[in-house]
Order: sequence, then C-alpha cells, then structure tokens
Amino acid sequence: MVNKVLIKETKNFIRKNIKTYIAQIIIVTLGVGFFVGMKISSLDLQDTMTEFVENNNFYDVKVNLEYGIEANDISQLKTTLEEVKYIEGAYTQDIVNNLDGEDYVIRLHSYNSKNKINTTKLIDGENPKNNNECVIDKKMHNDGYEIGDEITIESDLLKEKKLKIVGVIQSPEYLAIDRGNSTLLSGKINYYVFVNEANVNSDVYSDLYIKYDTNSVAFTEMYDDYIERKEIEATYAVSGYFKDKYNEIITDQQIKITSAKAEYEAEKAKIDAQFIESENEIKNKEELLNDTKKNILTDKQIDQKINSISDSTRNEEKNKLNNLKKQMNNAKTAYDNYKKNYNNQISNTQKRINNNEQRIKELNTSINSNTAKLNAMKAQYNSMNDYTQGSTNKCYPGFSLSSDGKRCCYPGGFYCYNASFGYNGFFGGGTSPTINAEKVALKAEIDQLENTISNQKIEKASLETENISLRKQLTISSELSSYENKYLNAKKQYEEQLEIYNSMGSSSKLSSYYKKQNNELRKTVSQYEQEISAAKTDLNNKKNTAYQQLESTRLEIQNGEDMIKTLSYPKSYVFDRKDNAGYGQFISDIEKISNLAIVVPVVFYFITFFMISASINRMLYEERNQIGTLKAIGIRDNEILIKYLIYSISSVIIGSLIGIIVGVVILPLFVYFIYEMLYEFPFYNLNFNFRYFLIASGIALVVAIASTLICCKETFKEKPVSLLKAKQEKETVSSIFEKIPKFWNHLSLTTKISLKNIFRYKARMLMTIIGIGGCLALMLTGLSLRTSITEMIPTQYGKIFKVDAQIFYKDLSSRESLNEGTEKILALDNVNKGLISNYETYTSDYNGKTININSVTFYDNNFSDFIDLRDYKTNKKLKLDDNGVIISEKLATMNNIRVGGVIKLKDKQQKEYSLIVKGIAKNYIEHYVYMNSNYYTKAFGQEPRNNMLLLKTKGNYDELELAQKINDTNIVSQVLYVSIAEKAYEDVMNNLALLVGVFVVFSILLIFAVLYNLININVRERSKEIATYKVLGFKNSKVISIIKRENIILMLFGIIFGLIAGYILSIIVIKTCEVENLNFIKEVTFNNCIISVIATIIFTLAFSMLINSYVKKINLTESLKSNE
Amino acid sequence: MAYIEFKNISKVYQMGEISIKALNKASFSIEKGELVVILGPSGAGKTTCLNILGGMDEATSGTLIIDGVEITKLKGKDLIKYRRHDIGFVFQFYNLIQNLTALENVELAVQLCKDHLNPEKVLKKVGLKDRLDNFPSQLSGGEQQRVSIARAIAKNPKLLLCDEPTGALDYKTGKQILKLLEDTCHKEGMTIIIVTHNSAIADMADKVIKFKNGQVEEIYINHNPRPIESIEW
Repeated sequence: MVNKVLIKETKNFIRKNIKTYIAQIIIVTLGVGFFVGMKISSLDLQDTMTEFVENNNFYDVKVNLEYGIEANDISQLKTTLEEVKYIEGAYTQDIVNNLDGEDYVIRLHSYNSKNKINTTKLIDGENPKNNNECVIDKKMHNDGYEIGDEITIESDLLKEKKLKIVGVIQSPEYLAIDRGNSTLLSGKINYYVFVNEANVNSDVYSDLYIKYDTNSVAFTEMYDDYIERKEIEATYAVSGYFKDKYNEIITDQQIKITSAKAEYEAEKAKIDAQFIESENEIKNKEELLNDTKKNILTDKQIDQKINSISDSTRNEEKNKLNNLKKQMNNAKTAYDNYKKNYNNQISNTQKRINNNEQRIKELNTSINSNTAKLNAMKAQYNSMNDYTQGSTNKCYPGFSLSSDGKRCCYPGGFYCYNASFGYNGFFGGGTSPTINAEKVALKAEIDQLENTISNQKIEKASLETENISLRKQLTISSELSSYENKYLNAKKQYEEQLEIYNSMGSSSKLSSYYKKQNNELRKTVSQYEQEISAAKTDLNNKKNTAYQQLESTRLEIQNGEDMIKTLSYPKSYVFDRKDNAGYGQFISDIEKISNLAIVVPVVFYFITFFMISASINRMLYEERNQIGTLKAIGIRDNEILIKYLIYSISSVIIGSLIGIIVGVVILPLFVYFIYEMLYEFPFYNLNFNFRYFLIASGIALVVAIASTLICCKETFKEKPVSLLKAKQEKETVSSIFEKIPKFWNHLSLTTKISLKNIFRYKARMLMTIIGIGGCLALMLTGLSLRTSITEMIPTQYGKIFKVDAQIFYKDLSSRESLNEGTEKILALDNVNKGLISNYETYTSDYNGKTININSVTFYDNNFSDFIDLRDYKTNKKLKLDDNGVIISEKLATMNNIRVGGVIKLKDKQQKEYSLIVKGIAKNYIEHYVYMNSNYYTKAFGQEPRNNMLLLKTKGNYDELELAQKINDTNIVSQVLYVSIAEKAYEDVMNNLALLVGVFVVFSILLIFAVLYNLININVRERSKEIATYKVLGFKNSKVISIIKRENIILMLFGIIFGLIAGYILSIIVIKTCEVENLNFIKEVTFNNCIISVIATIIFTLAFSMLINSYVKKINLTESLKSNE
Repeated sequence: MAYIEFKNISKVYQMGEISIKALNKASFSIEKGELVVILGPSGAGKTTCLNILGGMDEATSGTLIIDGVEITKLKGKDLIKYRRHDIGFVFQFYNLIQNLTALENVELAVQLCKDHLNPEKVLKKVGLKDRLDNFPSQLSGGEQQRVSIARAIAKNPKLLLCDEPTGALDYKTGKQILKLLEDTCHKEGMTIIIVTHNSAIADMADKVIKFKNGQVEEIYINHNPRPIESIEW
C-alpha cells in the first residue's frame, strides 16, 4: 500500500531541492546520452553502410585473374561452385589520364544494366546507354565536372574515347573517399568512372565477381566465417579450371613454335648457302695470305739463309744466272724479231688504212655532189608533166595540161576540162598529147646517177669495214704481248737472280735483298688483307640485309619460347570484402567509435553512482529525525524507502529520456558529420536502438537503485529511537598531524580546525577528492585526446616531413632526359633543393584486414633535410644501412615487431617480402617503410626505379604556377604538394577533434553538476557546525574561510588524484580511439595538465561561492536544534 | 491482570567495555483509561521506559504485556504493526514532517489505521480549524504540538504516550496542551502516559510513577486528580 501522503511529501521535497535534483538528471543524461549516442552512432553508420552494401549487392568474393576470364569460362566455372546467387565478369583498368592539364589516376569500370553485382547508386543524371557516355564519381563531380561535360579517356581498352558525362554515381566498392591504391603513378587512385560495357574493346573480363546465396549479414561474424569457407572453395575451383585450360593453350603454343622454328632453320640454311661461295673465296684468299705471310722471312731466317750460302751454292746460283740470262736473251730476240715483223705489218696496214681513208674521202665528196645533183634532177622530174601538149590537146591559153594528158586545168586546179575538148581538138585535127620524152630521159639519168651513188656507197662501206679490221690489227696483238711478257718475265727472273747472286757476294747485300723481298711480300700481304677485309665487309653487309628479316622472326620465336617458360598457370587472386580498402577501413573505424562508447561511459556511470550515493546520504542524514518519526508512528521501512527510491529512479528516468534524444539523434548526426570527411554516406540512417536504450537506462537504473539501497540500508537498520537522536559521533582520535608538535603548534587555530575536520570525516574527504579528481581526470583526458589529434598534423608535416612537394616522373626509360629535366626543375626560382628517391606502395595483413604501407627508398643517408627520422623512444636521429629497413611506429606496435624483427609486405602481385627491421621511427600518419637502395636491391631483387623527386621550396610562390613550371619540363606526371595532403588530414583531424570536443563539453557539464552537488552536500552536512561557529561569534568571513580552507586542501589532493587518474585514463582513451592508420600522440602534455588544473581550480572556487551564500543565510536555531 | 503490565524490565546499553543501565528491573502496572504521569530527574530512565512502552526500543530483559499481548516477545514487523495501530506518540520536539501541511501530517498517520478518526475533525477538536493548510514552519510551537497530538489521537490508539509534551512550550500554552490531553483521556477514555520532570503536573494524574536511577522509586495513586486549570507552577 503506497502512502499517498508520503508521495506528496516526496514531490514537495523534490521541489524544494530542485537544483540538486536537476544536477542529478544532468549527470544521468550525460552518461546515458553519451553511451547510447556513441553505441548507436557506430550502429547507425554500420547500418547505413550495410544497407548500401546489401542493396547494391557488393560482391562477396572477387577474383582477379592474371590473364582475365572469358564469358564462357564464367558460365562453366559457375557449375563448379555451390550456392552461387550471381557470378559476373567486369572490366577494370587503371589509367593515367590528362584532364585539363593535369594527370590523374582514374580507375575505369564497365557498366552493364543487366549486372546484378556491384550495382551503382545513381545520385544524379542517368546511367550510360551509349558508347560515348560515361558516369563519374562524387569526388570528380565535386572537383568541378558536371553532367554534360565532355572528357577524353585515353584508354586502349575503349572503342570510343571521347565521352560525355551523363550522370554521377556511387559504387559500393568505394565506401571511403580514399579511393585506394593503384600500380600507376603515386599509387593513389583519384577518381573512378564507369563506361558502357559495350564500349570496351576486349573479350576478356579482368575481374570476376561472385555473390552467394546466404542469409548472413555484412559486418557479422557469421558472414565472416561463411565467406572464409567460400573463398577457399572459389580459390580451388578457379585455379583448377584455368589449370586445365591453360595446359591446352600451352601445348598448342608449343606445337606452333616447333614448326616456326623448323621454318626458320630452313630459311637460314638457304641464306647461308648463298654466301658460302663468297665465303669460300675469302677463305682461299686467306689461305693465300697465310702462305704469303709464311714466306716472309724473319731476321733469324735471313741470317740462316745468308750463312747457308756456300761456294757450291754460289756456283749453282751463277749457273742459274747464266741460264736465266740465256733465256732472257732468247726471249728478247724472239720478241724483237716478232716485233720487227709486226711493225712492218703494222706500217703496211697503216698505209692501206690511209689509202682507204683517202678513197673514202673522195667517195664522200662525190657521193655528196651526186646526191645533190640527184635531188635537183628529181625535183625537176617531179615538176615535169608526163605529157606534152599535142595539137589536138592543146589547152586554152591560161590552162595547162594535166599530167595524164587528159584534162586541162586552170592553175590552181579548181577548174578542169576534158583535154579532148582542147583548143585544137575542138576544132578537130591536131595531135594527141605525147609522152614527155625529156622527162623519160631525165628518169634514165636519175637512175644511172642513183646507181653510181649506190656503187659509191657500197665501195665506201667495204672500205670502211676493211679499215675497221685493219685497225684492229693495229691495236691487238696478243701474240706480241705474250712475247713481251715472256721477255719481261725472263728479264725479271734474271734480274732477281742477279740480285741474289750479287748479294751473295756480301751478307749485307743479301740481307737487304731478302728484306726487299720481305717488303714485297708484305705489300702483297697488306694488299690481300685489304682485299679480304673489303670482301668481308661487303659480304657482311649483304648478309645483314638478308638476315635482318630473319632476325625479327627469330626474336618472335625467342619471345614465344621465353613466354612459355614464364607462363605458369595464370595466377588467380581471390579477395573478399575485407580486402577492399574502404570497407576494411570502415570496419576498424566503427570499432573505434564503439570502443569509445564503452570506455568513457564507464567513467560517467561511476560518477553517477558516486553522486547519487552522496545525495542520498545527505538526505538520509538531514532527515534522520523525520525517518525516526515515521518509523515511530509505525510507517513501514519500505514505505519510507519509497521516497528515496522515487527521487533516484525518477531522476534516472528523466535523465535517460533526455539522454536518448541526445543519443539517438544529436550524437549520431554529429558523428555522420565528422565522418563525412572520410566516407561517402549514401544516406543517413538514424535508428532507435531499443536494445541500447534499455541497456543504458537499465544500467543507470541499477546504479541508482543500488546506491540508494546501499545508502539506506545502514540508516534503516537503526531503531527509531536512535534515529530520533543525533547520529552517534565517532570516537575522537587525534590525527597524525597532532602527533608532530613542532609542525602542529605553528598552525593557526582555524587551520587546525580545518585539518582536524578533514581527517575526522574521512568519507566526506574521500568523496570530495574523488569527485574533484574524477572531473579533472575527465577534462584532462578530453584535452589530451584533442591535443593528440590536432598536434599530430603539425608535428608530422612540420617536424617529420620537411618536404614541400612530391614529384613523380612520367617515363623512366630515358635517364638522360630525366636528368636534364630534373636540372631544370632544380634551377627554378622557388626551388631550394631536391632529392631523387624511390616510392612504392605495399600492403600488409593485420588481423585479416589489409593495410596500406608507403615505402620510400633513398640512395644514402643524406635525406634528413627532407624527412627527419627519429627513434620513437629515444628521439635520436636514425640512419639507414644496407642491412635493413626503418619502419614507422604504428606498424611496429600493431604487429609487435622490435628492432631485429621482420616485417612482411606484399606487392600488387601479392608476392610477399620479408624485410629486417633495423629501426623504428616516430610517425603519426599512415605507415612507412624506409630503406636505402642497396637494401632495396637485396630485398626486391631489382634496382629501385627512382621514380620520385622530393623538393624543398623557398620564398613565396603561387603553388599552381610553380606546378605548371615543373610540368613544363615534360618529365613529370604529378606534382603533389605536401601542404595539400596536410590540409586534407587537417580537415579530417579537425572533425575528429570536434567529436572529442563533444566529450570535453560533456566532461565540463559533468564537472559543473558534480561540483554543485558536492559543495551542497558538504556544506549542509555541517550545518550544525557552521551554526555553532556563527553563534559563538565568528564572523561570516571567518566561518567561510574555515570551510574553504578545508575545501582547498581537499581540492589540492583531488587535483593530484585527478592528474594521476587522468594520465592513465588519457592513455587508455587515446589508444581506444585511435584509427588504424593513425598513430595518436600518446603524451599527456604539461600544458594540458596546467589547463585542466587551472580550470578545476577556477570551477571549484567559483562553485565555492555557494558556500558564502549558504553560510550567510543559515538558520541558526533550526540548525542548532537538538533532538533530545 | 492490569491493562499494562511492566514487569522487571531492564535496558542495558553496551558501549565497548562500559555498560549503562538505563532501566534496572523496573516494574509497574497501569489500568485502562488511566492518566499516568511518570516523574523523575534527567537520566532516570523515563524516556527509555516510554520508548519501550511504545515499541520503539527493545528491553534487554523483563516482560511487557499490554492488553494481553506480550510486547517484549514481538519482533520486527509485528512490532511495527503494534506501533502502527496501538500506539500514539507525542514528542517533545513535535517531529512534524516539514514538507507537509498540518492536515497532511495528520492524514499521514491516519492512513495506517483501519478505524481511525477523521483528521480534519481531530484537528478541529484540537482547535486548529484555521490552520489545516499551514506548514509546520508557519505554526507556533503550541500549534505544532497540537498537530502532533492530533496526529497521535487520530490513529485511535490504545495507548497515548507523551514525552515531555510541554517541554518546549511556555506556561500558558503548555497548560492548554495538558488540558487537551486531560480531555482526551476523560472524554475518549484513552489511556495516557505523560513523561515529565515537572512534578506539579503530577497532580492531574490518576497514577504517578516516580523513577530514579533506572528504577521505580515510588508509585502512588491520586484519588482526587485536580483539573489542570487549577494547578499552578
């Protein structure tokens, strides 16, 4: 039976103590709101992404094949897999594209409206229907590309490269704004673009996507287990399928190569045969050369020869000489005789030739004149009529007889009449025309003359022919030359022999003879050599031309063979969702928020428990008398207890309800706002999660009820009698201080009172210390977290990275042009200095997730102007050596690696490398691995590409202008200003700092509520004491100072406790809130300690003002009322 | 058997090694409808005796029988029940609930009992008709004490126990209160026990019990109790 009146009393009581009540509500609101809010935020975020990912059928498993996959492969593969809902292929390609003057890395995807997996969400516009259309991502759209714009995608994969943007989409493959890594350029993808599948010029898909028929939901453990099994199944199925297929292909290829080889060999043999003849010739000549060389006598040989000359030899030689002389003379005689005859012959012949020529001349003249004559005669002949005019055929005057004598014609011939009607004929009589006898005679002459001319010509011709053969006789006489040669040869031999014989007379002569001989031989040798080399060169040229064609065929075959050697079963890489960068990052981030949701509210709830206890205790103390009275009247304990339960439970319920609004709406929206920097949310789900509301308010309720009951238990145990009396005072024990008379006696009375009080009321003292300390701890934690987040950026980009810009080279093939271009860049006005280095991106596995790692390789240790690597513990500068790498701090701590340990990296082809860690460097943003070129070569088996130029700039400059100038050298594909990356992170960090700011604000509100309550309690507990002081005559200010002195001492202890607790809590919270690729500064700075201490002091002193008003207002009689 | 039998009751307080005997084998009996005054100097054990009578404290030894019920054997809930229904207590310092009005204070006690008197009527009876909605802080000492008495009476208890009811009041007001008690006893026939150290009041009682050092020193019956108006001190 609930006592209605008591309930009324409770209401009145609450109304009277409304401020304390509200403070309590606020505390509960903060605790519940923050807990629910953070938990629900992480759930909301997760829910949004889950919905997006499931609605758009984000792939469960992705398979990347070395050589792609064809459509019929896919349908065959489907039959070997189980529980497949959809299986589709798609085209993906990373390209470097120039848009408006700058190079970007774009990942192209194919769009097919029939696709079920990885469907894109249309944000604006429409999907591409035609080949000249494309859709872009939000990032590209935000950077200024609108629907209707035209862009050119320089990809060899596309049929149509000029594309019109028709829409903006979002793909579930890219949850994060960081689009992930690529093999090109700096490794980061800038945008993704979808083109029509029909526009793709390939019959081989680059990626295969699989979606399974499962009920498990994304981000859950059940899903993870399921997919693990499926991945294994897919891996075996795919590799098995392609193993068979590629075995076929290889066999085919090998057959082709074998036949091509045979053809080649045949062709080669043919060509070789062509040149064999020439080669043989050359060989022969070389033999000749060698023989001749052999004949060259060495000095020794000469001496030998000289020494071997004996008399008999001399006689021999003499005989030889005589013989040769005879021969020579004979030859000469023969030659002379022949020559004489020959000369006679020659002169006769010459005479004849001359005569003939004379005659020919005469004939020519005669022929010419005759011919002229003939021509004249012919002319005359032609002009004559064949007929003369007879008497009967006379023509009228003016008319002349025609040549046939039958007509008379007017000159000009335009009128003729029949001659029979002639002048005479008309009148009859007369003679007929007669044949012109002159003409006939003339003809005879002509003929005769023609004959003469012809005879003359014949004679001329025969004479000329004769002359020709006669002349031949003049020039050629092989016989004569052979006689001459014979004579000359004989002469030569004689002379040579003469030389030998003569030289035999003296060794010097002989040696000079032999030497002369040698020279001749040498001349011959060099002549031969020249001839041989000329012949060889000539042959080679001919060969080269012939072989060039063959060579390219040979290379093709060689390539084919090499390819087969390297051709193993095409590698397939199977990925699941966690390997997707955005997805993986998202999972770890929501974990962080969720963790923060657990750590912090624990503190809030603790404080709530604490505060409720304090309040209830206070109430119990003050109402002791009343409780006794009620008990005396006969009211049951439970009925009396209800009041206190109502007080605490109602404050919890109201606090929870308000906290819910904060937790369900305000905080999640805020968290969305913050994470907008990192992720693209397609929509914003706000869920009312009943479970967490129940948990949060349930815990608060339990805390409230527990603290109430615990506090009441003691009091209610007492008998009404004792309750009606004042609480029995504890025995007084002298405190420690009093036992040190030296120290004690110097203190003023008020100080002594204060100290005594502190030590007497230990519970109260502890409460105050913990209350103040707890709030300071919270504030310090919030500030530390905030500092840690915001200081990271300037530290990373100011102290660690001293680089101003990162430049990536375009084309690494010509080192010369790169060096030239680099010189130009370094010579630019605002460029201070540069450092060529190598940059690669790798991945590593961490707890099943993929993390991205940057690798920078320097040639030597002269990089400290650009990157300052310091040991993460000792802060000493780190140096690179040939034996290992330096890794960033977070990498080491995440994987538990110490110096001497090993870090495992994977490249884009999923090949794994193990690198020895020689140093661990302080680093806050992203993961880095540093090494020198020697170690790089050791570890990766090839020289570093040296694809990056780090720059330090100086002075003031316009970033865009400088970038343009650098681009103008034409060796650069990307200029990344560090300041831009810094700004990007700054934005992220600022948003994170905002989230932390919420925490700090909550802490401060909490501090207010707690301090208010504490001071109230403290003061009211001692109302009798205060009243007594006042009654005794202490001034208000004195009384206030007694109390405040105590509070100050307690506050100091509270500060110490708070600093220690705060330090520990800070480190815990910072570690919990850390995101995977960031390494928050785990320092509790001196500044923050000072700030929180000062803030605590200010707040405490401010709230202490309450004491003033209380002391002044206190009702003396009431407080001093005794109960006896 | 008398209405109230207080037999050999001792109350010992143990404080470490020291034991304090508040009551040392005290005995007395009281008839129904009697107005009894318990006298004695401070520390004599009067209040302790009253507390035991009212079930607010437990005797260390001895027996207390009221209306045939052995009170000393009652524990916990039964004791509360006894206090609730059978006892009306009036304190020296009123002990009203500050947050309730006069009327509510009486209603509070009344809700506990089955056949209780109407709170408003009782308040009127004690002369506080115009003060029903005032809070204790708005009432004078005498008025507060009257509310306290009203609270006790309204329960219609078997026994009305008053611990120095006029201790905090002036002479005139005190007399008024005592008159009220006297009337209640005679008109309603309620058994009333008043503890006081003012011996002059003893004249109004039917029976006077004198305590000294935790024991009953003397009991005497007043055959002619004087009405309070005629008593002066």
